[in-house]
Amino acid sequence: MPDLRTFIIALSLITVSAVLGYALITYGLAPVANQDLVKLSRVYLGTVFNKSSVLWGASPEVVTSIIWDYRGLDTVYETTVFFVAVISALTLFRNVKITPSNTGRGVGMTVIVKTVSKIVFIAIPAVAVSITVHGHLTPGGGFQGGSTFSVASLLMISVFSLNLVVARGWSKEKLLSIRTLGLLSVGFVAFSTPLIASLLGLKGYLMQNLEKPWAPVGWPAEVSLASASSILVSGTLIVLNIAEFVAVSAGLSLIFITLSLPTNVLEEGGGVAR
Amino acid sequence: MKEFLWMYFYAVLFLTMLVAIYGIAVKPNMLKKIIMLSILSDAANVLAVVMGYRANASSPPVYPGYTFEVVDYPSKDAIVSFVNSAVDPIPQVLVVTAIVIGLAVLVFLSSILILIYRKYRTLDVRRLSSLIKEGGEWIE
Amino acid sequence: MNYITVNDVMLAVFLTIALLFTYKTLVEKDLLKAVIYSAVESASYTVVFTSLFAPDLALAYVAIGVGVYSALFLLVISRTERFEGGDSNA
Repeated sequence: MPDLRTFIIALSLITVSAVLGYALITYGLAPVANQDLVKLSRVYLGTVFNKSSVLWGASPEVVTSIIWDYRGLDTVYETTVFFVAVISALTLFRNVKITPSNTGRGVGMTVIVKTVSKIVFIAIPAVAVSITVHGHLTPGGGFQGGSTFSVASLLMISVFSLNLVVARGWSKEKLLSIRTLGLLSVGFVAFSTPLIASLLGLKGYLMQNLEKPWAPVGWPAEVSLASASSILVSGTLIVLNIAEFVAVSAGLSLIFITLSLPTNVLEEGGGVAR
Repeated sequence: MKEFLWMYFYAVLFLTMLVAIYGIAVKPNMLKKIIMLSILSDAANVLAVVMGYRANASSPPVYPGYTFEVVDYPSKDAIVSFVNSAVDPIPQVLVVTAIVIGLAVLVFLSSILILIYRKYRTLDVRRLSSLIKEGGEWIE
Repeated sequence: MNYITVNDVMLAVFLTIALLFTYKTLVEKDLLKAVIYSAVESASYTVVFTSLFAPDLALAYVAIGVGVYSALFLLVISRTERFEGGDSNA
């Protein structure tokens, strides 16, 4: 049984958290499922899908419109943080060559697992894309879709073996280019409105979604296709979601491919002094 | 009665965080430290969302029932009832960003761990520190 | 009106499960089991997010917490060591 030391530590942890929980509630520091929200969140909830309001985000999904429209710049920085993390992880294994020859024997799992996972590989990307594309209508979005897709690539690596995945053309260069393409399009969308506005001599803001009275250039909220009815696109949200989906799925798949290289191959890389 | 329940929620969340911090501080294996780090960041995220919760008749911060087909925008009182019932969206936005950053940190840390093990053949912090003191020569 | 709703009960149950599995992850010597316990803990936090009316986070978190985190830890374990080595203290 744990000796006295761990007993004392455990007891102190429990009492500290119990006292914290008690103090937070009785002195009203932490809300007990309060009814009145902060003014800012009431503003967000009120103006996101309110066509008559000037600050509207044209999307019924409040969280995604806050992420990409009201606080779009934060998300651009967050995406760059994720980009830099993936790139720095790859530079740790920089002189590792990912070629079909050095990715181990191409023996995946048994035939049963392979046939079952072939069906799953149709389902997971479909779910991931639908989570992304409906990101501005129902809960979801670029990042959620991208991480769901990366689970599919993870499954592919473990079921069909890395050799087959790389032989099928999932090379480092291709995935990196797809990833930078996604991030470049996020950057392009961010700069598109101020660019066009400045060309027309008007005012435009970075990551601006819809046109505002003081900045008339903006992305369209609805797009009318050949069919009569117009579809709710809510400006940059759908474009940014798709770009984020492309970037996150390519980035995570690349990380899984690099980390699941055979140990001896992985150990040549990184240039760590022998 | 509800106050006791919410006291319990906060107490459990703080206890999870304290256990995670204890794990990071005390456990010598670096991979165990990283696992506890990811648990710590998850518990902190949940604490942020718990604070944004809204009692009875609350609903997710999404206007229900809208698809690509532009039917009509919500009426004035639909918006007012939504504002009075929806959960606070701001903690959820910040937590999505926090999850992404937590993932980014974890991706980088796990790559470093593999290289540390490659050079020093151990993940145990105490052995590592002694090795590094002796110049950490390559161990066949 | 402070009656207890289903959400509160689910919150209480799954937060306790998360705490339990955090403790189990802490004391587990075999890192493989520790990763599985942390995956269960992430799954219970996904349920907590859904009962807190945060569907965005639940979606993000089920893919990241259970899928990507466990995969990264397992990849690191397969490249390093599986047991926690002889650590003497608690």
